Amino acid sequence: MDSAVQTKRPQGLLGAVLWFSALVAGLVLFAIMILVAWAVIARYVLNNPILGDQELVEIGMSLVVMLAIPFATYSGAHIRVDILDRKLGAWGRFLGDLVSRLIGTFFLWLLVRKAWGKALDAHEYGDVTNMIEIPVWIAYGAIAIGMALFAVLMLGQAMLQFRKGIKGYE
Amino acid sequence: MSETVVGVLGILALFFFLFSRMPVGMALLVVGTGGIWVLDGQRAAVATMSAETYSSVTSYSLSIIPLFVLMGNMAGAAGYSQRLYEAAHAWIGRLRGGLASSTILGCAAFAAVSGSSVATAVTIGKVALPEMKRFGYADGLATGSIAAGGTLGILIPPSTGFVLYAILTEESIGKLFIAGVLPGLLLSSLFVAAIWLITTMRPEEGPVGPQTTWSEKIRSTGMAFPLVAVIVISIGGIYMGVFTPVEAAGVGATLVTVMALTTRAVRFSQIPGILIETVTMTAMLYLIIIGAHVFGPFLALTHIPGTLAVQLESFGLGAYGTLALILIAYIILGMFFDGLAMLVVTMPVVFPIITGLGFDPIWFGVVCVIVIEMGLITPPVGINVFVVKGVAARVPMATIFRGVLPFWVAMAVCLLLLILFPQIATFLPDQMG
Repeated sequence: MDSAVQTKRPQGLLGAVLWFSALVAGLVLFAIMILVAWAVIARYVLNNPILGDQELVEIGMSLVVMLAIPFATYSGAHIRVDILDRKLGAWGRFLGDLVSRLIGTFFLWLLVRKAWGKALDAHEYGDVTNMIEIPVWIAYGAIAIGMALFAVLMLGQAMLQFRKGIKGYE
Repeated sequence: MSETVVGVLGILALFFFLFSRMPVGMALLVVGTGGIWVLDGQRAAVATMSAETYSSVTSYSLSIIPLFVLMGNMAGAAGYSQRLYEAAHAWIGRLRGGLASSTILGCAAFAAVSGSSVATAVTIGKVALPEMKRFGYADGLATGSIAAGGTLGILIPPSTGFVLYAILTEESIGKLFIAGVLPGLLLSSLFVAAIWLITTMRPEEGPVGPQTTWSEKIRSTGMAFPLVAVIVISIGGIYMGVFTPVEAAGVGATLVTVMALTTRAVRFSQIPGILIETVTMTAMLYLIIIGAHVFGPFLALTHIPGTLAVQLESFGLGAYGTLALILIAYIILGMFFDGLAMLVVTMPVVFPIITGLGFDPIWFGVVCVIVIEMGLITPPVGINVFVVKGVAARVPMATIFRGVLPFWVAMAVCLLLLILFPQIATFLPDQMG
């Protein structure tokens, strides 16, 4: 499950934007960490539990994951099974990557459309969480935007791969 | 086309996509959605994908993953692994093979703040390897102890392996964490015993280390104490029922961060890198979780787990025979697959069979994690071996793989003991009520 993770800000505008997006995800996570610890202190020490802390964590986590997923894709952090890489040869790896990216883009696109629709519905009907009434369109919107960026990146990688041809795999 | 045929084709498609280099999470998502599409139509498939994505990314209990990853990354960046190693080194470094045993104990202690095997192997390896080299340890023993010690990262809580298992099987994360404590200590002891055996038979492989004075022993223990206190608070808090696992992760991560920043072990300029490393790993794990949550319902629709259970029963192997068959399959798969990916892909099929045979699901979680650990050091894809190779570039791979062999045997012994005495894993969680 573990993979080497690139943490330095990449060169180029796209890399820098995605890195910044991941940094914002990190800051949201940092806030969640403090909130969770503070909720424990508030409950045990101050005897005054924070109302809706779980809901804040839940909506916050959707932002953490979806703001970070494009950078994870960009930096190649997703786990892949590479045991057959040598056996596949240059053409096998080329086609494998191309097919993976195109099929992945298609399914992500279906997810983006659905999540965007859910976000619009939640916004229109004013769907909120139970205790502190955080709008749930935030989470659906985060899914739609995060996954859309993920899909666009995969499509971009496929197009770049197609343009470069087999050379990059030899 | 019958549901079972669709299921079999789906599994074949999954392996095809996996071997075609598709990210594991994406392959699960694509096959799961595609399979539901074939069986129940596009509307149901896309609705499942959307609902499972939403429930995964907004799950409160899953927030334990990034919080514990953050705690481990922060502790690693602060150099706390070095303090833990030095404390162990001060006490047992003087013994024959003591530096390798210190590596194991350092790994076991660091594993209690880190859920990752690779992070544990890297952080302890960087400190322990130069020291073992300085004292003339055999390359195989030095690198083998780091690669094997690192695997304790996913057995001793907190553990990403247990979190993933809990999510896939709807078992309690807290109970699984606590269940990992005794087997983690047992496996650490078996690793130390393996080192003792090696250095008794071949003393030249692990010469005695430097003499340390009592003041050095006390100083190094004092240096390691704050981190040990965090471990006791977070894991002890779960056991005592003071914290939920998520709260333990939040409190532990906050304590380590405050300690690291106030003692200037971590500079503010390092924080962005630590946060980005954490969220990138989180996003990678969540893609697998989302994929698993879509793949699971697809398999359930195909009735494959039930069909397979009936087939296995017809072999007449009995509960332990079937368990042995499953474990052998896991050990073989673990040689080629990433351990957590293997867990995600197989659990929807294996878990109903195991519980149907009457095995304790918490116990099986521990067994699974140990089998994954074996995969981490088994050729040809033992990731911890590659990690150690990264730290010890001049040591040939063959030497490292030879070096891990005694530790692999220790793992097999641990597995056997767990099967013979399941209480090793179930005793502590049973006390939690």
